[in-house]
Amino acid sequence: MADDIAADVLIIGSGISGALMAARLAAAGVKVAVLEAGARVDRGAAVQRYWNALIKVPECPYPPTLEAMHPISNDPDFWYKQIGPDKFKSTYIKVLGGTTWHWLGTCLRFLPNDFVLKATYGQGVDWPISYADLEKFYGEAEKEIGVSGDSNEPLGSPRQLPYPMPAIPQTYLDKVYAKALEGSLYEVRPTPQARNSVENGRPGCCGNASCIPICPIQAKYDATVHLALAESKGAAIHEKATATFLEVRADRRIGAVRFKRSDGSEGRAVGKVVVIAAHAIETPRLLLNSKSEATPNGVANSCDQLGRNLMDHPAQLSWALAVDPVWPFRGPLSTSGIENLRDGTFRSARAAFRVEIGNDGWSWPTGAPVSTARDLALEGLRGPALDHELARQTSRQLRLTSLTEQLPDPHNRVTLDPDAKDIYGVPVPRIAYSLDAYVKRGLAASQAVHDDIFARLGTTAVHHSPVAYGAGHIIGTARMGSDPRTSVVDSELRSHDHPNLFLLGSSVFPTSATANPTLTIAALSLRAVDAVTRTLQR
Amino acid sequence: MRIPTTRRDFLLAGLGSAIAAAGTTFPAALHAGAAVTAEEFLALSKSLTEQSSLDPAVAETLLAGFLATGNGGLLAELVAGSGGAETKVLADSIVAAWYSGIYDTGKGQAVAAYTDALVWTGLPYSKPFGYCGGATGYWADPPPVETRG
Repeated sequence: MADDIAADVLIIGSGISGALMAARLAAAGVKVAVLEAGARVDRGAAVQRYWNALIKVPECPYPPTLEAMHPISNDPDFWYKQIGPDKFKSTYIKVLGGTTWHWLGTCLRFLPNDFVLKATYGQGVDWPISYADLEKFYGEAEKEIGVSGDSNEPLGSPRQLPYPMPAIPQTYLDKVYAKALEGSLYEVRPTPQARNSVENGRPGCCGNASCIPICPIQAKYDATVHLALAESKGAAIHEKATATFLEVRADRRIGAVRFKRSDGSEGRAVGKVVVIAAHAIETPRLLLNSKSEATPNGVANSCDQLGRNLMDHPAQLSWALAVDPVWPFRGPLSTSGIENLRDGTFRSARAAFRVEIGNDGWSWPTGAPVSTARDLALEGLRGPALDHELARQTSRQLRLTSLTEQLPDPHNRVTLDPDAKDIYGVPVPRIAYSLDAYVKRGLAASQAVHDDIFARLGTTAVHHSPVAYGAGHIIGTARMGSDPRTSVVDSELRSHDHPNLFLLGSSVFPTSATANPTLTIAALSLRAVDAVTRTLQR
Repeated sequence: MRIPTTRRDFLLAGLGSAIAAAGTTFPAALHAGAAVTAEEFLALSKSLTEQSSLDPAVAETLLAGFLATGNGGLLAELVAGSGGAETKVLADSIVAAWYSGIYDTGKGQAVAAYTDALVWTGLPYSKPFGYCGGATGYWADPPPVETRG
């Protein structure tokens, strides 16, 4: 079989981790090729699909196709073969630029204690690196992505460099919370986010209020920014090319990656270094599928940890009506949070969480304002009376979401389904998942916090979701660690088993912490650039 | 900054699918009993919603949905100004469809309009999602008094 694609560094996956790596290496003159299962996205057409969609879930502008299948939020059994006992509800998409197309854009750093959860609180495991090891790369990631934040507010994560852009202004709604919570335990702070507070080649945010599922003007960062940079420096981006199998040589190096195109043709790609950056479901799926005599458990899996320790930030949603209008639906979906509940001695007994303050009314839990309008009409309201009541109700809608820390559990895992395969002949992901008592205690504590906050605001109509939502954060499944017997990659994200194989993304996180994962994904990818470069030079 | 210009394209697409659905699901008897025309439905909708300007293309889509779900007879009663409690429920449903932009095709729900749904007239302090609302930070203060609804 001829080698269809040859590069110094072959990257599988074009989301933020692969795109950052590609851009950095290409800028340094390295020959880079990127394989992406999905296709390029036309932004205008995607906005139109969002408007046309009956159920406006994060994936609605990017529907799965037989050629690039992925999960959808409104049907957790659509792509995942779930064997329970709980449903895993977080999703990803397969398009050029990956799931950053519909991410919220939150760019919090992890806290120093997040890296030493075991040593400090006796829970989970410790990371093989410390916050200090990653601090410089957090700064670099914030600069690369373009994060707007308040440089005087470290939010528990000490920083050397200022944010590249000033903070996104807090909404009027945020200020209502801040005023009501003044002097309380709850510190309302602007959220650092990958959203332009000033024009920087891409426009400043103009409050489309559709960050999830799409920013129509790209004021919100997505990974196509770095894919374009990589391409401009000579990287080759191959869309609609699904990696299906990794070939391992006798010296245990990855010799080639087999892939299939959406037209059914097959190809083979080679790189001196191979980087898998396919997010935390597809990365283990690809590696587990690459079984051979030399790798009977799949590639990079001599430790039997691959696919295990699947985590999310199980989310407690609560909503209520404010006394007076707070005017939601006017800015980014969230501009503030409460970040000072993310660490403390309580972590020895229950999950920590961060509280996200929503600017999107009851949109997430109930489908407002469309559902509000429908309900009022069905009650018989008409004309100005309907419009007046619609404004009166929607303008007072509040939403809080707490993202809880889930511990690594080897039984929460991705394996290959024994029955179903995709059109390329690769088994679909099978998921075993459960929420343990530690995270359930955290969810209960977050609900009590929501009650307390709402009470301080004097709200009415308080609701709590009885079940946890997925946060859209897929974590674990290829954990990093110092011991090859208990971890898949080392602290530089190199496979313990295969010297020219690197794994990027939140799959390598040993624990989930509470911060949205993307900034840490980016920082780890930038940190791994040096190890990839050294491997090339050997 | 992008200005949405694709409303017409979308409406045409929606209309096409509604017609396709109607063509395959309409019993002839329903047609015979349903004398309501697109013009009548539009006039009825304007009266019920108390809106003087409604999109005829959306009206055709919604009408096809109400006919496909077996409401032809009740619609005719509503247009004629007769009927009882059942027509009141149907009238509410027509207003709900115009406000939400969502209707029942007979085979499930579909979107007839989103950015043009009447819900946004009830949110003068905001705008359809996916539309720019103003300069960065406009959300930091309450909306102007005249747009508070």
